[in-house]
Amino acid sequence: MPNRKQIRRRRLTALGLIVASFLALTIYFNETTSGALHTIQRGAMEVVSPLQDLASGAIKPFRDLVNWIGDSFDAKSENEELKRNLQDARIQAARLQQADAENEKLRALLDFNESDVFPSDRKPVTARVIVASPTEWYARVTIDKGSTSGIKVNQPVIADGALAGKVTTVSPHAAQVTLLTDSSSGVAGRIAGKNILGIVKTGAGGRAGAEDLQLAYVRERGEIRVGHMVVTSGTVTEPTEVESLFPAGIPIGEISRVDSEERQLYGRVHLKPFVDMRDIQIVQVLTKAKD
Amino acid sequence: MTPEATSTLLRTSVVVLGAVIVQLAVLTQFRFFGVVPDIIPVLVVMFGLLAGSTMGAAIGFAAGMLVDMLLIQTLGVSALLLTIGGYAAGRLRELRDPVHPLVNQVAGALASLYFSLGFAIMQFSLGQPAPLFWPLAWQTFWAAVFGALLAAPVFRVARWAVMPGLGRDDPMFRRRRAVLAPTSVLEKPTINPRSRVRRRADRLRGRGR
Repeated sequence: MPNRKQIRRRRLTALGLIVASFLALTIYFNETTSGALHTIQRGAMEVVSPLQDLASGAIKPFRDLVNWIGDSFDAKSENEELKRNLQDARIQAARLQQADAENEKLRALLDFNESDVFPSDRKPVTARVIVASPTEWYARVTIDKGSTSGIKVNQPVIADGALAGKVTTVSPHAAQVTLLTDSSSGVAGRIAGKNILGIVKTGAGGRAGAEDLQLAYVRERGEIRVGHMVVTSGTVTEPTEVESLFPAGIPIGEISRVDSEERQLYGRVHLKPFVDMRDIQIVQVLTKAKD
Repeated sequence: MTPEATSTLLRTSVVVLGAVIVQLAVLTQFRFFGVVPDIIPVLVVMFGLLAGSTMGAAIGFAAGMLVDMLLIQTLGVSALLLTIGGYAAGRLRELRDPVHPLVNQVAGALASLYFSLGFAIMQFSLGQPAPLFWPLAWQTFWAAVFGALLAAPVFRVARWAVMPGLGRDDPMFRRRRAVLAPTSVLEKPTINPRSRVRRRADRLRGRGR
């Protein structure tokens, strides 16, 4: 049986740790991003990112195989019998497809580097995703490049040739990217080829909004149809008034649903992002070349 | 510090740091039914069940702080939840000494369920915009299932970490507690039906008849 001293010590330890957690929470919530706890966080990310990079790289072949199994599991419900017959052949094909898809992605990124859609003062830095947020509450990923590669906070992040999010935290060799589907994200967008502006944001936080973004605060009249492409507007309000963090013309997604009542009442329509936010592996950060 | 304590501390540190890195860098890359399995709440509860409330709370705090730091999310949220979870699991072991063969699986499922719901409540309280209800419910359900499935291997790893300090208290071999302490003021201490004392008393009673 524990004596009184042991019981008191046990209770004090638990209480002390709970109070410490509350203190950390309160201080963190009230301080700015340059505060002490945020700085410690960036330091911790910097220290552990090489280990995460190593672990993430080591499991890549296994991850590719599991991802493929997951994809084929969904498709199985459509044609169970046929897929069972082709299973052996598919395992072989999956490996080839994965390599092929990655090759295509890298080629697309290479073309993207060479295209002059984006301002010449932007220098794309290619990075790999090493950590993804595990909960529904956040849509954030950590990449393996940081300030030593020229990455800074608020720089736009591209994946598969479309906007994926922006950099929100940077350490020397790693950075955190907040995706468009995070509840804290908002990007000034426009319907391509039309003067219809709005703010692209998620209706629900985290991965819940991965399939369904909104072009909100649409004030201009004009027809919006399913399939119209939404791109970054380059300005926050009216053209040329306030410059956005994102250069103009980066594809975001295409209109997936237009409810006339919703548009009239709330000034919003729905769009599906071009980037599959649940499966981002390689990204490009548009850094400033002249910095 | 005794050599056993030093060894336990070292092993525990390695296991906790390793688990956090595996969770963030490896497990977040895999989605099963759209959900990422989370080993951290399961690990903390296993430590609590193995080594008691103080160690459970301390490991919960350390693991929670590490997760919050590396995911650049509000510092203290996971730490608070895991400290309470680890402490509660440790108290359960100190008071009730559960011995059912499925205790680890049930504890793993409950730990994941508690962490998912607790995290949701904390995020609501902090004013974080909530995801849609069904994706959240789906995630919570599968988190509990994965918690139960991961319990056995996680228990093995946690047991290896605290083995030097366990000695004769190893749950795989130790005797069962003779008397179960009350978990509330309304309850009286009871004889543990699985303890050796009770079994011997039953045997004697049977012989007497």
